[in-house]
Amino acid sequence: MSNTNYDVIVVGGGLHGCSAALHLAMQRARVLVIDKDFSGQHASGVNAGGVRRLGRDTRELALADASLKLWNSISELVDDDCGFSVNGHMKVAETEFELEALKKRVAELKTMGYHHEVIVDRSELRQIVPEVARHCVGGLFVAGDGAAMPYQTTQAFRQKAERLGVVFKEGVQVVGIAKNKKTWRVTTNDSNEASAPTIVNCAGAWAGEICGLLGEFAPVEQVAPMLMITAAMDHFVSPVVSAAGRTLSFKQFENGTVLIGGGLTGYVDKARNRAELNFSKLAINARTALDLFPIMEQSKIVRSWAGIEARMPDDIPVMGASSTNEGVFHSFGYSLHGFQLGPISGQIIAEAVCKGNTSVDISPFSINRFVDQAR
Amino acid sequence: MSINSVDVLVVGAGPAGLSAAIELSKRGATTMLIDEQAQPGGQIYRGVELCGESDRKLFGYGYVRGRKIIEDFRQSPIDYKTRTVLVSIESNHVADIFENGVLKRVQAGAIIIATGAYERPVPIKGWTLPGVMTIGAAQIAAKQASVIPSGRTVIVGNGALLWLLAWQYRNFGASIDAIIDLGGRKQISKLLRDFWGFAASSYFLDGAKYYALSRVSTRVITARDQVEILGDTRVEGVVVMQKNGKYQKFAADTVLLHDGILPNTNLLGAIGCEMLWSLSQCSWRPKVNIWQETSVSGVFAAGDNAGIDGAIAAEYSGRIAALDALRQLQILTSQERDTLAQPWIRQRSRARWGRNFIDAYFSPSNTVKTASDATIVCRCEAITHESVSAHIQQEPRRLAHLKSMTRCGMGPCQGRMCSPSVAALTAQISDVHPYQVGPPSHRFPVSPLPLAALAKFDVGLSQDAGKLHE
Repeated sequence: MSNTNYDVIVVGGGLHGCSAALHLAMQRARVLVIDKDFSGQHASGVNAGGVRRLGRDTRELALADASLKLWNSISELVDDDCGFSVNGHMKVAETEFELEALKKRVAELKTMGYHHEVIVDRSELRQIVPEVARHCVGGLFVAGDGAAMPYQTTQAFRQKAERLGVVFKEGVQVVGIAKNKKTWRVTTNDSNEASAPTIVNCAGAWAGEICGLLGEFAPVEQVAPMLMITAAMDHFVSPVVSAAGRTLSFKQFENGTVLIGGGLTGYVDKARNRAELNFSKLAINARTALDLFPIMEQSKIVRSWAGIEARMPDDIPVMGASSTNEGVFHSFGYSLHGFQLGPISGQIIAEAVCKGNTSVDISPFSINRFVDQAR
Repeated sequence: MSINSVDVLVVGAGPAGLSAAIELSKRGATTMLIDEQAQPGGQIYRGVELCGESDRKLFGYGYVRGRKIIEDFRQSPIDYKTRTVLVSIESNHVADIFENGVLKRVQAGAIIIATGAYERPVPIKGWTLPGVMTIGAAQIAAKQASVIPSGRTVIVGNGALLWLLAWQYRNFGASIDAIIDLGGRKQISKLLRDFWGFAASSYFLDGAKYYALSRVSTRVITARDQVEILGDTRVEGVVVMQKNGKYQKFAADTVLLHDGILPNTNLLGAIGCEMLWSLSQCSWRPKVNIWQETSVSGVFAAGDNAGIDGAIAAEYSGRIAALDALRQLQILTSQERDTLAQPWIRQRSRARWGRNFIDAYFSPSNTVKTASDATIVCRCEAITHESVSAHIQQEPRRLAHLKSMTRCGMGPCQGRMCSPSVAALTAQISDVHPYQVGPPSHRFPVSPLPLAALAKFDVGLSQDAGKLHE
C-alpha cells in the first residue's frame, strides 16, 4: 500500500475536474486527479458541445461571460483550439406567443445589464438560418456563442494539466475519505491511499456519492441526455439552433453531419455504468428536427448515444466550499449545460482553494441551499 | 400504436438463427425472426432456395446442407420478417425493429442474436478502388446472381474462404490469374498440436481438397511483404514488393480481397454485452455461457457472432440457445432442457474440431501493419494510416479515445471496417496486446435509420414530452 501526499485531490476527471486540476496546477499546487473510468468517458466527452449563453439561467450569466472570455482565447490556456468556433446560437419561435415570451426575456436581461440576446424577426431569422421552416416567426440570437469539440476539449485540459505536473489515476474508484488532523486520506478500490489537505469533488453524476462519503447531502440526479447524429449533408446551417417551445439542440458540423439533441433523457444503468437509449423519446426529437428543418426529410441517423451526467433539482450547479467539511470544495451538478462553464469553473475553484475568495460571485451555487432537505 | 409481443425475437436467418427459430416454434414459443435479406440462409446459405440442383453442387456439400434447414424453417409457424433490421434494444427485451420503412416496437421474452460474421478488412494501398471487392461480395454475386467477374481476376489475401471461393470459381469455369497468398509463416509446432483435431473434423476432406486443388491449378505467389493495388480511377493491377526492392506486377480487372472473418458484434456491443478477446482468432467476441447467453440476461449470441466456429456449430449453438430461452420462458424445465441439450452440446463441440488448426493455419495477416502512409484505414471518414498512426503515437490509449480523436468508427459503418485495423495498429505502435486496446464501442442504430421513419415512431408517449416546461 502506497501513500502519496498532494496539495489537492480532485475526484472526477471530466472537464470540470480537469479544469480545476489545471487552474490549481497553474497556482503551483501538486494535484492528483482520480477517475473511476477514464477522463471524458461520460458527459464531458460526449455532450453536444454547445458554448452557449443564450437562454441561460440569469444566475449563471456572470460566470458564463467570464468563461466565454477564456473560450475566446482557449489556445492560450490549453495550447489547443478545442475545435471552438463562433457561429452564434439561435432560439427559434414557432408562434407569436413564443416570440412574446422571448421578448420578455430580453427586457428582463436588459434590466440586469445584459445585452447579448437579440430578438430577430421573420426575415432576419431566414437570413441567419435559411432552411428554417416557413412557419417560424422569429427568434432570439446570440452572435457571440459557439460550439467546441467536447472530447478534444476535455483531453486538451487534461493534457495541459499533465504538462504542469498533475497526476491522473484512471480506472480506480474512491471508496473511502477520512480526515486525520488537517489531512484528508482518500482510499481507492485498488487498495491505495493518497493524502491532501484539500479535496475537490468534481465527480459529476457520482458527486452525490462522494458527498455521501463525506457525510454531506446533495440531491444529485443521474440523467442521460440523448443525442443522435446523421450522415453528412451539404452545408445548410451555421449557428446552433434550439426552439422556444420544444426541446431541441441542432447543429451541423463542418464535415456535414448534423447533431440532434436537446436534453430528452434515456435511462441510466447504474449497475453496468452505461446509459441506455429510448428510441420512442428520440422520435420526439426527430419530429421536432423535421418540423423545424424540412431539409432533413432525406437524412439518415447513423448513431445515437447518451452520456451520464448530474442534474440538480433547481438546474444550477453546486460550486464552492462544503457546508460540513473544511478543506472540501464542490464543482458538480451542471445540469446538462456545464460545458460552456468548463474553463471558468476550474479557475473559480482554484481561487476558492488558494485565496478563499472568488472573482465571480458563486453564492447562488452554494451547497447550503440543500441543507434543509438534508434533515 | 400497439406493441407486438413475442416469446422470442431471433435476429438473423443464417444457420444459427434458423435452427433456433425452428426449435423454438416446435416447442410452442411464439417466435419472430427478422433478417435484413429478402431470402433466408444468411451468408453461407445465401440463395440456396433459388438455385438449381446442379449449381448447388458447384458450391460444395456445405452449401447443400442449408437447403434442409430452410425447408424445415419454411414449414414452421414463425413470424418471419425479411428486409427488417433491429434498430435498438432497451432493457427488459424491448426491441425496436425497422420493417418496410416503418419503425415498430416488439416486446420479447428473450432475444437470440445470430448475425454471423463479416470479413476482416484488408487495408492495402488501392483497396478502395472500383474493381476491388471482397471474397464475400464475390460469393454473394455468385450465389445470388450467378455472376462471375469477367476479365483478369487476381485474389489477394489469406483465409479458408479464399480457397473455397477459388475452388468454386474453378467449378464455374472462371479463371483466376493469380492468388497472392498473404498467409504468414506457419508455426509448425502449433499446427502439429492441432492437426489431429483437424484431421478428424468435417473440414478435413473437403477443406484439404479445395485448398490443394486451388493451389495446384492456379498460380500462387506467396507474399510476406507489401502488396499494393495499382490504378488511378479503377483497378489496373497488383504489385507484390519484396524487401530487397524487387517487385512483381500482375495486370488485373478485378481484385478480390480476404483476410478471414470476424464475429459481427455490432449489435451485441451496442446492447452492452461483455466482450472477450479471442487469442486464436484475433477478434472480439461476446462472453457467453454454455447456453450461449451473453452477460445481458435473456440475450443470447448464437452462431459465428459468438466466435467463428462455422455453419454446423452454428446450427447447434442456435438450438442450444433456443432451449435455454424456452427454459427462461418456463416452457421447459431445467431438467428437460438439459436432457434435450446433451447430444447437441456434444455435437457443438464435435463441430468445433479442427477450428484451432484452421485458426492457426490462416492466422490473420493484418495488412494494416505494413500498409503505406496514404492507405485509407477508415473508409467512411477517409482517414489514412498516417493520421491514425500519428494519433496513436501521441496518445497510445484505448480505442474509444482514438474514435473520439480520429473519427475512426464514427461513420455509417460504425467501425466495422476500421476498428480491427486501428486495434492492430495501436497494439503494434504502442507495443501492447490488442485486448488492452479494448473493444470498439458500438451505438444504436447499428445500421443507418431514416430520420423521417424515426419521426413517425409513436408508441403512445405523451406528445407533451417534447414541450418545455417554462
